[in-house]
Amino acid sequence: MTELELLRNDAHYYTIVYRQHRAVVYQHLKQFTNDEAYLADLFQDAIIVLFEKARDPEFTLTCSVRTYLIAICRNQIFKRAGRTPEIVSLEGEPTNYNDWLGNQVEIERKKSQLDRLDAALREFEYMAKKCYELLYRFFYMKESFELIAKVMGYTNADNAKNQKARCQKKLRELYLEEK
Amino acid sequence: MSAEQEQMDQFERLLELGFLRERRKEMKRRLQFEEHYIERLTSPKIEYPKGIKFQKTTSADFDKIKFRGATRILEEKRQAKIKKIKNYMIFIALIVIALAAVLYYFSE
Repeated sequence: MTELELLRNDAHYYTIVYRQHRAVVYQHLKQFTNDEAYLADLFQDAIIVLFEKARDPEFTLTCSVRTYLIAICRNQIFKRAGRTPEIVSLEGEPTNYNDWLGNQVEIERKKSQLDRLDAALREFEYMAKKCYELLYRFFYMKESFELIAKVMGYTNADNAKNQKARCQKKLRELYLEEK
Repeated sequence: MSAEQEQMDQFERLLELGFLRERRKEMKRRLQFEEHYIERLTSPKIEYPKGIKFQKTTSADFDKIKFRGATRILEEKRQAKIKKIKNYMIFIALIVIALAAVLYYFSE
């Protein structure tokens, strides 16, 4: 099994990747800075980018995981320094992490709304456990409707999808009440 | 697209971001723990225990996934079913052997 497949199948494999590649990636990045805390922050974000990308079934890796991680870290250094990111491309694959960064920017922009949603979700978890599980499985664990239907006892994927819409509506009402 | 549908889509996006933020936070926390763990291994310092001596934080404490993965649950169910069938088959085989032994005994 390749590292990418292991990342896809094992929810905690990223910690092994972290231990495996940490020393070499740090060594490579020390040409930019010697600040260990900064390097750790960069490397941790790179691992999160890799993990999220690995979850996408269409994502393929044409280089080694280590090269990919180094490329993301380098792009981050340029981006954080306020310079135009030097997109380090690897054999035709741009390791641009803009979509990851785009989401991060949006998360920071909507912080107050998300905090309110968190409060509503905590209440929702207590109020409607099954609905919460369905939403958690779909959004957090990224499971398909087919799998959700099987594991939660819905007759088919369409049924699970309809249930998700109903749960979402209920949660929205709760969220609006929180306002 | 109706206004209500648009609002529902916006809320779906917010929900997506909410869970994404939670996942990223969990991962970051766990990776920070890993970093701290590696640092302690590479440059150990003498630590004098204070208070409770045997309370350790392990990497397992950072696994905050609330529900087990669906594939894992389904696999466990499948294995349980296979085990049940196996047990039935062993039980039937034992009965057949016992019956054969009884028949053989009375046939003599």
